[in-house]
Amino acid sequence: MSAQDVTQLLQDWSQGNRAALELLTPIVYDELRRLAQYYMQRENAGHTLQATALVHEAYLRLFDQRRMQWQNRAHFFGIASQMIRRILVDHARATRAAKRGSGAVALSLDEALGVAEKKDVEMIALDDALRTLSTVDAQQAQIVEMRFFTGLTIEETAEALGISPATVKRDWVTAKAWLFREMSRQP
Amino acid sequence: MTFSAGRWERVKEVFHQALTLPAADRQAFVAAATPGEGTMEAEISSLLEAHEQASGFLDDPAVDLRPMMENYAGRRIGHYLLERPLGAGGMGAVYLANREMDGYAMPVAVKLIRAGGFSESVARRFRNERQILARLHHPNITQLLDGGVTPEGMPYLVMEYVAGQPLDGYLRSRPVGLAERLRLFLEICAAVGEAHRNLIVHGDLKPSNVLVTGEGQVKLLDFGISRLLGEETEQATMQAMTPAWASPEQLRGEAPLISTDSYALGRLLYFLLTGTPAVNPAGRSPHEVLEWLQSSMPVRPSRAAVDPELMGDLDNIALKALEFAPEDRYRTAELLADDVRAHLGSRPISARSHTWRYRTQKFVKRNRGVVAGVGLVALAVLVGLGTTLWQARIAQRNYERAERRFADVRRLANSFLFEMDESIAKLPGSTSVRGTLVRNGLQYLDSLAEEAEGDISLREELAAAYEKVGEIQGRPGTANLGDTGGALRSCQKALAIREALAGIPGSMEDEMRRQGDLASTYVLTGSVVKATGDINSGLEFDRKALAIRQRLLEQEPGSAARRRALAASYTALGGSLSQLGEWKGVMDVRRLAIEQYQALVDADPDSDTDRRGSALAQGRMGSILLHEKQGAAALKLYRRALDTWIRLAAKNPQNLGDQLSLAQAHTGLGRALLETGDATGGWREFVAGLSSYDRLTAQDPREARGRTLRAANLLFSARAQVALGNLRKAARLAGEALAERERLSAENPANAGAFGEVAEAHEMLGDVRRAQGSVTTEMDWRRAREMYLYLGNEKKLNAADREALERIEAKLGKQDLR
Repeated sequence: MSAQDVTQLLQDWSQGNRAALELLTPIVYDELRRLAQYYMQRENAGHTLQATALVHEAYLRLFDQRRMQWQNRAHFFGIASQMIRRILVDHARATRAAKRGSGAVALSLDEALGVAEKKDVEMIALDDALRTLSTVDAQQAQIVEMRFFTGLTIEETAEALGISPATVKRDWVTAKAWLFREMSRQP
Repeated sequence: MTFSAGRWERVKEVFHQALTLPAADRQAFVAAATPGEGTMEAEISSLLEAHEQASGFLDDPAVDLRPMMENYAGRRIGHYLLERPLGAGGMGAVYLANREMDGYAMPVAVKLIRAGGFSESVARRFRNERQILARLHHPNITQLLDGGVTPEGMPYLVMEYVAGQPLDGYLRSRPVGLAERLRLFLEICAAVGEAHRNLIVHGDLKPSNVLVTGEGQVKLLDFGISRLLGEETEQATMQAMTPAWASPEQLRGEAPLISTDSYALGRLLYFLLTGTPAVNPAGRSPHEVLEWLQSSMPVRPSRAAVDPELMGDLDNIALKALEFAPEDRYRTAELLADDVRAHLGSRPISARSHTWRYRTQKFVKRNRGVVAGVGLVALAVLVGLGTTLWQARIAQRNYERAERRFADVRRLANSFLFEMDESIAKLPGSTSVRGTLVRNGLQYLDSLAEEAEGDISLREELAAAYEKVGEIQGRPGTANLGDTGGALRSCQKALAIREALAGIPGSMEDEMRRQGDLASTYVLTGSVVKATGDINSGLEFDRKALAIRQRLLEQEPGSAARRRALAASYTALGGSLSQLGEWKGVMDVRRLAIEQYQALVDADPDSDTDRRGSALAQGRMGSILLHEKQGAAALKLYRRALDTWIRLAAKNPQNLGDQLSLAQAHTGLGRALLETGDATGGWREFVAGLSSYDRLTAQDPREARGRTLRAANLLFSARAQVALGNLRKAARLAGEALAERERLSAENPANAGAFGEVAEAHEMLGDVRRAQGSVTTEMDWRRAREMYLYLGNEKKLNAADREALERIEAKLGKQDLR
């Protein structure tokens, strides 16, 4: 599928065509997945930088930049946020598992890894808490995804979800308090 | 705990109402709002409590896509139309853009920099650094073309667009043999070495900043970007670097130095050899990576890549470049490249596998307690270690001093060159402040000079610094302080060092280089001396430089650089002689210059530099021929020069100098045509020149050189219109030229040349008015005469001015007789 077609799908979806989203999601996900494998194999920096580069690259490859509008972008990042979350959390779990069962070479390096390990643990805890939150308030969970996993602003999140910025702001505040409480409770 | 939807709505409602109240009143409000509903009250209270503790929680997104959100495609920034994003990173987005020129589009890359709080001081620094970078020219460095700040305050850089792949992608996309990988590495070293010679540090060398074109040419990206954004704060340093590619110094939060880049080159070499980074800091803090680097060495490349071909030299070279302590690494990119070349040529390399000292140090570091208790053996080790450590400390101190010096001299020279230039432009009356700055700077240099005794390379740097200071104080033809006396003293200091160094015996190569440097210092000194009005003494310096350069060329007749230097000397000499009005001598040296450039072009017809030199020499000769009323000969030269410029300008559309020269060549040819009686042809050329100037000055309305040349063109255009009988048009053109020259002169009151040009425009306007039979003719001529007389009083009248004065006197005399 050409960049123009993919862009058209995104435009259709942002104009309310749900079927377009169903076609679009696997395309975006495959691309992200493919790039993520590449980046993570040769991981050479912290999460933030890589994941950002990853989505940028996917974005540039998938869409016809000349035809992208601001609203299209917000929608793209709306889908991407879910996938970024999955990729980061999978990666955190994999890293933890690898550390538990790793060989001798990795061990000497891993001794000083308190910080990184903590980050992985937090990522996994956040994912669990978000899952619970989505059963209580799906919209709030989605807002957190967009704000935290793609860095969308209040206004952009509102645009992507088709709700008012005031609502996003209120939900964001509530969701943060809710998640913080949930994560503090965990052992 | 789950709630029904209705309950959850109420929780949110009350929670938000509570948040609108002062923190102290919230609890009471919640209790009042949920009477008799214990679980509800507890739920809301615990959320409020969490809210109060959660400040900062989730505030930093795991992924920041903001740079991608701002789509600037289709927008025009400066003279560039942004086409589409090429990529984005933490610092901002890069767009493919087009610059419209001559109706065809030239692709460029525009980097938009997201800089929060872009303050005035950051903006100034940005401009300064941009100017430094713009002067950095190398085939393996992406050329910085332009830059600025958008109306919203977002800084941007315009760079040569390179259709290439980042190094990692390039290596991934095709099989690249070892010899080819080493060749790529040598190109990277050449680029980095050139930047270091210009006192520019990259600070963030990594595969994604190394582009490889389809032809396999390396192009380095983002030179000096870390400095552009200000590396002064630790935070900025940390942001600018990428941990996987950072040196130990950078991980400590120190500003990048030359040794930082040398280290990064080691990382790149390692990457090229093995396809993997030498260090994998995934998820570690800079501090942890630093500790790891201190206590361990990367796996040998031959082992990492399981490639026996890398064993020996290449292992040793890569690991030496990656030594933890800067003084154990290669000092310069050249030395590193030399070793790689030596390996390719099967000559011995300077890097050895880890030395006894190194191994003992590491051993002792790891086993301090054990060593102390192991009797004789340990004693021997410790004695040896004591000595080597002591030597290492001295080496370290010397090295640190040299590096600090280097950084200081660089900072000083740059601040002189750029920051002061700018303050001059802004504050035309602030001589005393500028004087203080120069005095302080000189004191510092002088104190360095005392310590530099015996250190040849530091003395060479010092001489270069004095020369830069001299240029700032008063090199004619460039922005300067107008402090000719100070400039002269700085030049004399530089000369003293250069002359002393030129007398030190050394290798043939060193001796010739020092002679060459001495010649350049003579040229600079000569130009400053001439600015004091003492043309004859200035001429002596020109002749000394010329003699050295003739000798150097004889020793190395095949060296294009030597021949270029000689040609430049002839050119300078021609300038001096024309100030004295020795037109015959001018013609002679101009002819010699043309010959030298012709030889250069014959030797290498594709060299743009030499074709430029040749065309410029032809243009200069043309102008002197016109002065000597040899229009036909001038016509021939100008036609050849124009041909060359047309080709150069088409080949290098981004080179503003070429575009200006093209316009100038049209003007020159126009003058020759006018002189030989073809006013129509002349007018056509003037118009061609003018339209180029208009385009160029529209791009940068403050650029003085383009405006100066444009005004000259207007004046000749006026003359052509007089010859064609269109007097009103001629008057308008001359009036426009006069107005522009007056503006230019007002902007740079110390420039006698600009002042003289105003007088020249007055004379021309007078000529036009005379042809019109206007009564105001005399007014303009008189004004021109007054101006020339004023210049005469100031002892700034050059030969051409004197001739003009005589001419005007004659015209006025005739007028008076009528």
